[in-house]
Amino acid sequence: MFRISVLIVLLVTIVLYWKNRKQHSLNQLKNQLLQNLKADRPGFLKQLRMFSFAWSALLFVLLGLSGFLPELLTGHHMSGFILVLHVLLAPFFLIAFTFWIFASVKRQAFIEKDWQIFKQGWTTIRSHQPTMDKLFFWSFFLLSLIGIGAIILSLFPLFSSSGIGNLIGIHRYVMLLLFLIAVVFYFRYFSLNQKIKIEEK
Amino acid sequence: MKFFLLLLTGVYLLQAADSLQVPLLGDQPDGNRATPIHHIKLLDQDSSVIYPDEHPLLPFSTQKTCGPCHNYAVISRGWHFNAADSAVDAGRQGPPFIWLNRHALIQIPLSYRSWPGVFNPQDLGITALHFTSRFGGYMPGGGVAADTSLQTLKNYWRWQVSGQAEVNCFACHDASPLYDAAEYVDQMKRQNFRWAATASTDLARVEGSARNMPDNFDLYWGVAPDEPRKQPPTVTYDARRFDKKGQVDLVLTRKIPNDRCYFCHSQKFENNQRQTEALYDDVHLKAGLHCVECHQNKLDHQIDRGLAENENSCENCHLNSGRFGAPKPQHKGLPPVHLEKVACTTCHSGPQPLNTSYLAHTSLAHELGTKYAHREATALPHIQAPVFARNAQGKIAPNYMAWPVLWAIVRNDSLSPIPLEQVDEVISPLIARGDSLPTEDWPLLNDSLLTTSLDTLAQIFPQQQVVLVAGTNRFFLNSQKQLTVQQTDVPEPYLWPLAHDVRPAAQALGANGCTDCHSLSAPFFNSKIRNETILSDVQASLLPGNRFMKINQATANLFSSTFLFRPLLKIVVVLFYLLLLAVFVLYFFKGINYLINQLNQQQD
Repeated sequence: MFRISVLIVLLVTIVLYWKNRKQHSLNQLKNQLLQNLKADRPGFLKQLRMFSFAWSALLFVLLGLSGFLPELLTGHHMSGFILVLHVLLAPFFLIAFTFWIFASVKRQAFIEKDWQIFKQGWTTIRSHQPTMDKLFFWSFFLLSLIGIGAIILSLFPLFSSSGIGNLIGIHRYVMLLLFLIAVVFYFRYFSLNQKIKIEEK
Repeated sequence: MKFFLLLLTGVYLLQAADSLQVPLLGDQPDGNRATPIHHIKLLDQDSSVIYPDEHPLLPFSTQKTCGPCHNYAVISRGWHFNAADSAVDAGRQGPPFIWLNRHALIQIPLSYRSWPGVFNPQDLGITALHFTSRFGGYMPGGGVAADTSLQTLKNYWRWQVSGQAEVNCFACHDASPLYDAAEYVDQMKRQNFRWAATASTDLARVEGSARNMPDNFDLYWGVAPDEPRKQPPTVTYDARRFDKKGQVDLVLTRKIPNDRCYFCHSQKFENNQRQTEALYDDVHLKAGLHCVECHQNKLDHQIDRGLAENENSCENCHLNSGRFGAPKPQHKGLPPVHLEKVACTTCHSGPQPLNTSYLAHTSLAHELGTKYAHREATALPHIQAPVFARNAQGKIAPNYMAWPVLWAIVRNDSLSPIPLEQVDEVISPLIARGDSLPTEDWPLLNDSLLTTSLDTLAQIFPQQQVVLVAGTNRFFLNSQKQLTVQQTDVPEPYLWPLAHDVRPAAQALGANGCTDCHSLSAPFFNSKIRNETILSDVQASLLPGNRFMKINQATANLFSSTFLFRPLLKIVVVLFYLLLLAVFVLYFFKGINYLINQLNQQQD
C-alpha cells in the first residue's frame, strides 16, 4: 500500500515537472530564491533563515530519498546502510528545521490582511502568493510536528511492536504527504512566476 | 478389451475400497478424554500369542500386537520413520546423525533426508545394517531399520539374524517410568533389532547378542552346536505381568511424557552455568505444557515441527489464537522490523550467546543418557551453538552447527568422499598407534603423522589428489610431498535450527535494551564460531560468527555505533521537538485569540 502511495507521489511529481518543464530550471530556482532573499530585510535572522532553510531542504530531500526509494524500488522498508544514513541525518534535519521555523515563524504568522483574504474565499487565497506561502508554511509545520513526533515516540519503550509499527506508519504517510506538499509548493513558484510574467507583458 | 475393462474396474474398486477404509478401533479418539487401558495379548512376529512359560520365546511384535487396533501402515510413514523415503519432502533441516571415528579423523553429519550440508549414508558406503546398529537406538524403529529396499544382498543373512526393528510404539507411548530407552540403544548396538522394543519395556529382559551369532543362526532352534559359547538373543518375560489368558496391562498414553522425547532430543551446552544447574528450563514446560502439545500429530504421525504454518507454532499461539493461554507479546520498544527479519527463536531460544559459540552435546550425537555417552566438555563430535544464520524464510535464526571432517579425492574441483570403511582400514591404525591420551577430543596430531596418512591414502588412489577437509582447512600434500593447508568453503558445515529451551521475555535477547545486540561488543553480531582445526597450530581457529547471517559487518558496526550516542541524540531531539511544539502551540493560541476577537467584532 505504501509503495503504491509513493508511486502516486512520484507520478504527481513527474506530471508537475512535465507541466512546468519550460519554466523550470535550476537557474530559475536560484534566481527566484535570490529574489526572495533580496526582498528580505538584512541581518542575523536573514542569514539564519537562509542557512537553516538550505540545510533543511537538503536534508529533507536526502531523508525523502533514503526513506521512499528503497520502498519504491524493492518493496521493503529501508535497512542496512540506508537506514543508518536516515537515522543519522534525521536529528540534523530536526535541528536545522527548528532554526528555520524560529527564524521564519514571525514572518509567516497570519495577519489582518490574510484574514481579509480568507474571508473572500479560496479563489482569492489561491491567487495571493504571500497567503498561500503562509498556508504552505503552517501545513508543513503541523505535518512535521505529527511526523517527527510519531517517530520520537517510537524511540522510547512506551509502545508495543504493533504500536511502534503504527507510529512508524504515521511517520511514513505523514512524511509522504509532506513531501507531496513540498513538491507542489516547489513547482507552484514557477507556474506563479510564469503567470506574473505573462500579466506584466 | 473385456480384460482391460475388467482390470480397470478392479483397480477402481480397489481404490474405492482403500478410500472407504474403516478406521481401526484406536485410529481416532472417540471423544472420551480419559486414557484407554490396554489390557491385551502380546503377539509375536508369527501372530502367536505369547505365554511366558512357552519355548522358544520370541519378542513381541508391535505390528502384530498394536496393528489390529492402530493402522500400522499409516503410522509407519510418519515423520520419525520416513527419512529414507525419497518420495517424502525433506522439510526443514533437523538434527543429523554424526558418523564419528576419532582415529580415522572422521566426523560427518548424516541423514537420508536431502538436507543441504548432510551426507547420504549410501554415498559413503554405509549400509542400512551399519546405520541401524550404530544409530538405531535413537530411532523409534521402522524406516531404515525395517525398509527392505535399503538392505543390501551382502547383509541379507545378517538381517535374517537381527530381524527388522519394527516401529517401536513404546519409545514414545509407554508411560511406565520403567521404560528403558538406554536399554533400547544397547539392544540396537547388539543388533538385536527384533528384540529391542521388547527389551526396553518393563515386561521382559533380553540377553545375548545377534551381532555375535553366525549367519545361519535360527531364531527357533537357537545357537548352532559348534557355537556353544556365544549367547543368542534370549527373551525372558516377567510372568507376574501375564494373567491366565496371557493378557498384560500396558501403561500407554496419547499424551507422550516429556521424558520419552527428551531421550533423543536433549542437549547440553558446555560452560552454560544456567542450564547445567536448572535442567528442563523451557518456559513452556515450566508453565505445565508437554512437548506434544505444540508438537502434535494425527494418526499419520506427521509431527508438527514448530513451523510457522503449524497450528501450534510460536506465531499462531502467541499472536493469533492465544491457545494454551499463550500471552500476546508486547515487545515494548521493539521496532517491528525485528519481527520481519528475526525468528522468535533468535531472542528466545537456547543459551544466551557469548563471545565464542558454545560446544553443544546432543542426545543423537553424544549418546546422552546411555553408558556410551561422550561426557568430556570437548568430546567429539564437535557441535556448536548458537550459530545465527538465515533460514528458508530469510529470517535470522539460531542454529546448531557441525563441520564435516572427512577424507576425499578432488575431482574436477569437487570433493568425492572416500568410503569410510576404506579410510578406517588405512588411517585408524596409523593414528591409533600414537594416541595414548584418554580423551574424547581429536587425538594429538602432528604434521608428520598427517603427511604419512595422506601419503598412504594417495598410494591407494594414484594420480589423484587426496585431501583431508576439516572445517575451512583443506590439508593435502603438494608436489614435493609437503603438508599444505588451504582455506576452503567446500564443503559447507551443516546447520540445523535450535529452538529449545525457550527463554521467557525477561531472559530474551533485548530484555536489557537495544545494546543487547546493537553494540560493538554484543555477541549477536560479533561472536566467533569455532573452526574444526584438527591440528592445534593451524590458523583461523575462530571465524566470524556472522558469516551465515548474510549481513554487512561494516553496516552492522556503523549501526551499532550509533547507539553509543543515542541517549544524547534522544535528549537533543526531544528538546528541539519541544521547542517546535511550543512555538506551534503559542501561535495556535494567538491565532485562536485573534479569531475570537474578529468574530466578536463582527457581532458588535
